[in-house]
Amino acid sequence: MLNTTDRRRILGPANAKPLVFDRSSVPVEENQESAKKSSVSTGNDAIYIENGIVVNCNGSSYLEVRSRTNDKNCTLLLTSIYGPRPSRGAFNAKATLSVQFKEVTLEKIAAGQIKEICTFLTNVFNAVVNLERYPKSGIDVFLSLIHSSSGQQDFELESIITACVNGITLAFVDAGIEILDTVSAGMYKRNVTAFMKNGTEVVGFWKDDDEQSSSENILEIVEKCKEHYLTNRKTMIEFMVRNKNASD
Amino acid sequence: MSEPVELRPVTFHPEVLARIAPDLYMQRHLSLGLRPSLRAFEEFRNVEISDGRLSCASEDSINVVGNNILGSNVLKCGKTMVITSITGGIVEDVVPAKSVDNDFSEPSERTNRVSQFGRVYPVVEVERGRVGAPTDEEMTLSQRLYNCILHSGLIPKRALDVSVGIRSTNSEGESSVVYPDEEDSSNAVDTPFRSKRKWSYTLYAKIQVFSRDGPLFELCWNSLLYALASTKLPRAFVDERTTDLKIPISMRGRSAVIRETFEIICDPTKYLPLSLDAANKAFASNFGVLEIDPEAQLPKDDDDMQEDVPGSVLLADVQGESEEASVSSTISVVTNADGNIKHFRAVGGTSKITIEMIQQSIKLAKLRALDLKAKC
Repeated sequence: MLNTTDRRRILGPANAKPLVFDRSSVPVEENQESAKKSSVSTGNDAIYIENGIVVNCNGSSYLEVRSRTNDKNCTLLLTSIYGPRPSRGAFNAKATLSVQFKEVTLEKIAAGQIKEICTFLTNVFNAVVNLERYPKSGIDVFLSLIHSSSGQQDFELESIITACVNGITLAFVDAGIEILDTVSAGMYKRNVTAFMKNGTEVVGFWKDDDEQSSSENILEIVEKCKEHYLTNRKTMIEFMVRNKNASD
Repeated sequence: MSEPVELRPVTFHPEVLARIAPDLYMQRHLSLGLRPSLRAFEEFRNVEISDGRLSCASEDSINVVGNNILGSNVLKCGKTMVITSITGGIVEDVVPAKSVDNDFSEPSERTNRVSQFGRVYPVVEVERGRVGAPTDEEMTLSQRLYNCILHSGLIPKRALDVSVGIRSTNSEGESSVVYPDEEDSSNAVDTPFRSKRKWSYTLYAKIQVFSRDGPLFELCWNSLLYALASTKLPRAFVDERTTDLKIPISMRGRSAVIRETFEIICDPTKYLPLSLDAANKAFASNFGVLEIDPEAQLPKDDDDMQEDVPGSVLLADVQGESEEASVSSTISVVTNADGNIKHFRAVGGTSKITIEMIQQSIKLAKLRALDLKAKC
């Protein structure tokens, strides 16, 4: 519906207006209740993992995170990694890492926020990937968000970021790119913390404007995230072990 | 001076050979009666489809804020995955002043066939590990899909008309919406709002492809078709208070009256399925024609009977790098099971496409359309 002149895409009539849905006549209580539920149930998600779905990349992972209490809250994320591939230009002793995030179906995250997410994830994985092992090469991570928790969920962005961290780690493992540890993230309310080395090292911390946890001590928040991290990491490692056993 | 040159046979791993000599790799497979994908010559890949439950009309996400997907489809064919989502918009149609009085559902120009059909605006994106402007392939695909949908007549223009309801609020503050097609004939109160204006939905399709492994038009077309079949359009209404709102404006000294632009609001709970023209629902299949190179055949045992090798073969559903690289003559057919062909394209490359091959490809495409239709 963007009608800036773009001759590369077929954009449709210029006078089209987006559909406006009426929310006034709709009971809103139900939505709030489900959002409340999901806040309680962070760390109680069912995760479905699959590797190698995308064949023309070096490694990929598909993640389906579904809340156990509310079946409707679901995040589907496909991560593919291209690289290490030769990069042009000046010699680089280290690999350069880039992260691209794209919403495949719905577009509801603002461009600025997408950029923030990408920067955050790039920072996390710059610290995690053993970039020295891959000189003069580039590693590109592509995140495709197929679906995210339908609706105005308070913790939507945070659950997406958590899924991104976990998804990228799994894709790196699938690609066989050296990482220092299985990094995973945990979230608590609107805070996401990425840990490694069994929760002893923090590699990323994301905090959003949040009234609910503003009064809480930051260390407590990290501790809460850690609980979620440990369950997430357990799931991921279980999957990798099972995958390994199956292929042997 | 010159040293004797020693020629040693070189052997390659199949994957390596496929990369460095795709045509030889292909020919060697063909001489075994197989294709690199281990399919038979006229065998298609299986197609798995699902609506992905992404649409806002689906049970999972009915009436949730922020979801404006009207129809969706996830198609998996081999390793390739196509995700299509349909979104919509509303556009006000330009109605000629004269035709306002009579029922304007009749197209004024009978001759212009295309004007009776609805359009879909597709944007195809193929994931390839790069960022930047759309590639040639993506642009060509989008344009081809757009043209084919329009000319196939799949969507009658009438199906996209918005039948605008009116929301009225009674004295108790309760509001109800009356739609023109739901109105009882017994309802004596005639709606004061006779729309002199006409709106229609526009449909946008976003098609994302993962794991590209061969020509994509057919996969995208089929996915788009399934997505359109699952598309549900929301009911739309205007608020009663705005129906007779008129704003006088002054134009070049003369006084003119214009009506306010109505805000059309969609009902997040009521949907009507998009009615497609079932007779024009066609599915796509692609074929490649390849000449068999007698020199690239595997050596046969001496006591083997000299078989008659056909000069060229028809391959259904081109897949994989080596097939795509060595097949330059292609046929693409969009048809339904009854042979109502909507699109036919044959590209004559290095191999000759015979009349028999065209016949055979249409026959196979019809069979396949029957199979694909059953999945709808």
